[in-house]
Amino acid sequence: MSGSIKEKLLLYRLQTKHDPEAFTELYDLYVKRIYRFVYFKVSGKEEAEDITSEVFLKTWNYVIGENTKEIKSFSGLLYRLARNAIIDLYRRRSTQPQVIITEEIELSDGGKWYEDLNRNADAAQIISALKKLKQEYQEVLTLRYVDELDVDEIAEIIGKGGIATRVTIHRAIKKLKEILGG
Amino acid sequence: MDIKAQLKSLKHSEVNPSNDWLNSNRALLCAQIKNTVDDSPTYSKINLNNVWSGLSIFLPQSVVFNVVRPIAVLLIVALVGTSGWVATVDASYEALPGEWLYPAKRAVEKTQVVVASVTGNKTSETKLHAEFAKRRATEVKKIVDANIPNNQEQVKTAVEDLKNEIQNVNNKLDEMKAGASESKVSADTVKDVKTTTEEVKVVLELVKDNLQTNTTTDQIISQSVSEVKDMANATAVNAMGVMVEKHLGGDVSVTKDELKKELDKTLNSAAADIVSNQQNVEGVKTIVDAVTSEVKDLTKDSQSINSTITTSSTQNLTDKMVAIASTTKAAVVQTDAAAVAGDKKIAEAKVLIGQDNLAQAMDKVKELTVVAKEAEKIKDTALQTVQNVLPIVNVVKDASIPLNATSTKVEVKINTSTIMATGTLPVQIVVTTTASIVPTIKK
Repeated sequence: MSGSIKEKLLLYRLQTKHDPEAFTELYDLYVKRIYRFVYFKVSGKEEAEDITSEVFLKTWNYVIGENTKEIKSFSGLLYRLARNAIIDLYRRRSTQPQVIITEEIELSDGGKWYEDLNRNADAAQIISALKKLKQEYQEVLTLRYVDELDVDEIAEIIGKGGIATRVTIHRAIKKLKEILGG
Repeated sequence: MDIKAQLKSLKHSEVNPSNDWLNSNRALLCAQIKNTVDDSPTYSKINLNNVWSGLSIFLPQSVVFNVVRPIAVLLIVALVGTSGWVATVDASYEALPGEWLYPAKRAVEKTQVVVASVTGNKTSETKLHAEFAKRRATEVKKIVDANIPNNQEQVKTAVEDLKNEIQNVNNKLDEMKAGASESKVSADTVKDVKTTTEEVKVVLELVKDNLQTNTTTDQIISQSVSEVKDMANATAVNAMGVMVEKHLGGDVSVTKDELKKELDKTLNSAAADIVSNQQNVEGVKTIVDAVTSEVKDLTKDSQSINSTITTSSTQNLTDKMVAIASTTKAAVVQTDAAAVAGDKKIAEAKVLIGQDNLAQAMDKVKELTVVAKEAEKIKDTALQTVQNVLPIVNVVKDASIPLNATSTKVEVKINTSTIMATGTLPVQIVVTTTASIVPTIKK
């Protein structure tokens, strides 16, 4: 709750005073979530980074722009713009030849390398499974379990009712299990 | 491993951005957004609209506008009415009729008057009424200056309120007159009241000059503004009278010298009024004469071409203009007479002041005010008559021809092609004077 009040205070500063500092604080709060949200939908780290910074710049321009409508939730706005940016990327891709970059998983040093390797292998597996899911399922799962958001917050972001969101999460988990098991 | 736990563990894996990128991107973003913001702080003043939109981030918008805002108004009224908290008065001070804080402003004023009358503080009660009259006058001026279309209703209400306020001041003065000796209000207060009402008069004069008089509604408003201006003037003179009476009754809070100075000031302002009326009427006459002679030429021309339609219409115009010219001439004679009478009264009053005969000097001042009022009425009627034919008189009012001009040349150009279509004369008037100010009027 205190986090949401802080967010609202920052949003207030941002909207009335166009305060760059408030925006950077909001950036710190949300950048990781937005990055992860984008990461599952694009092919690599670089693309995720590019889109994330693009989303924040667009958000800033939206907030300081003229005729700005009432912003109910800053996170809602961020996710909406992120979704749009990803759709734009897909459109660009469909007209340009795709280059597939296979990423190497970095191994960290130290004695725990074996454990890390195991974990990274698990992670790679689940990520590839996630990427096979349809967009909506990907979104709700990352929001619910990776970002650990409330169902209500997720409902606001994806623009659905609370019960519908719960059902979507449930189905997404089921589908993911199928992919991993099969 | 449980699938949910697996998903959660992703939080710590490579799906996160690297810290290097986070920091560099943050710096980049900062640089980019700082470029889009002005360095000058545009929001240095508290903007109330920002407060409401800010509140609506925390509360639903309907709650802010239907619940919070009315409560805020009530709070302001309660606070200011009882304690006179200056900062809040300031917040509502600028409000104009039709704005959301305006009811608060009025309510505060009413509460202040009630508080003053309950505590029996006549001094502050009278002062308050005078102060409110000044506020109303400023409001009228602001509304007229803002030149918002369809503002007649607003102007009307503000003028009406102003009238009431001046009436209140006048009533208080009359009360003082009735019980001059036992009234506790000092002549000092009355002097303040007088100064304030004089300020009201000056403001209203400006309003009158800026008022558009194109439509009938505008003319009605202009007329009521003049009425209120007369009232303010009468009130100032009334206050002067009360001051003199108080002084004669033994009130020494205003010295004789000060009193003489005030009398002198009143005399001078009345004299200035009379002179400016005279100038206005004189200027109107010059232009009317020029237009008349031009129209006459036009009639002659059209007669020589032998076109019956044009001849009859221009003949009509000539008749009209001749009639107006004679009215204006009469007006000039009347204002000249008024000026002479005014000069005589001023001279007499000055002699009386010199002899320390303040009571009689005051009578002269009152007579002079009557003369000045008459002169203004003559001017207003003259302007109105001419306005019905000539759309340029508005401009003439602004730049009346100075009497001290050594020579005045008025050129009138009439656009003959549109005479038939409209009842008013399409004229362009170029006035050239050799005085220090050379106004060029074009319409």
